[in-house]
Amino acid sequence: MRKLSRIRKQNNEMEKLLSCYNLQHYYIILRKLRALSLNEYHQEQIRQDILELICQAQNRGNTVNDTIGSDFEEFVASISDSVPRQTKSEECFINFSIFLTAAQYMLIFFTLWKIKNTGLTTITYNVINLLYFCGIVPFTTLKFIKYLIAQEWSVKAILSATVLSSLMMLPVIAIKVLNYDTLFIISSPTWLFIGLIFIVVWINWKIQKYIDTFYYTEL
Amino acid sequence: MLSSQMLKGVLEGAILKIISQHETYAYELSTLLQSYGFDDISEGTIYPMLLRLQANGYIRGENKNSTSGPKRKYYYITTSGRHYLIQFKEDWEKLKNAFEQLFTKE
Repeated sequence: MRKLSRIRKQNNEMEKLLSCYNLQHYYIILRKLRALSLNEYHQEQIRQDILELICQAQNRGNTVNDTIGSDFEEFVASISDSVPRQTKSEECFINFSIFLTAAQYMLIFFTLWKIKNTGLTTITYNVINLLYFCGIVPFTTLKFIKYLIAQEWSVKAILSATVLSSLMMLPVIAIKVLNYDTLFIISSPTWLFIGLIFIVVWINWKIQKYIDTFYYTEL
Repeated sequence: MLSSQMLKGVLEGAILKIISQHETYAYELSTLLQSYGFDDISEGTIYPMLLRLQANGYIRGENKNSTSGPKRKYYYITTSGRHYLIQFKEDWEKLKNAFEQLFTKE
């Protein structure tokens, strides 16, 4: 994952060099590239190559159309045919790591929030809220973002994701409204939460190292 | 202009041949190919082929600093790329002979 953030940072910097016209057209290519089932590191490598091609064309006084042509659909389709697709197991592994990253931050936030409200030594919390904040919310957010990228951020996709994510909150609201939330409130020592955070961070670190070595390889 | 379908099959071999002569980058490749008579070959046509050659292990890319602007990706042929090029040349000779025989019979 460190490899991924490094190359992404470099690409974000290179994007700033593009002229307004080239940037607009480059974004169309990028949206199509993101919709391909390639792993993110390979996507960033291709993004870097495309940015280099456009930047060099720009320096020669040419535009993105002179370099890549005007049929971006065809260009991205040929790229898709030329590189190895992401396997199902690879996708699951990487998604799990992204989920763990989101879950670990939610868990840290949840613990700090509860320490502030219920005390330093013992944390009193609602089990349903914990499951929602640290499990269901990161999981569904990840799923929705993937869906929006695959749909190239169309208005219809954004609307359906917004409606579905609002519906996700209904059970929590219903439990609160029906006054059943007291049934799920329990107390645990704070060290249990701190330990849990350390375990999640450690597992995630190991998984990220594995991904960097075996999946985020050079094209 | 050569038909794009016809071109696709042979362009990989042409790209590999140029890379086998010296390290090169996408824009230089497109101008060299044009100088050999491959009309209207942009980097957009070449790049997916370079990716395929790279994915098959026939070439490798390396980013190098450029005197003008951002880094440039230079491509180098690998040992398996050289083997593939020999095979490609043999296949091309067979195909060329077959076509010559076919068309001279007319």
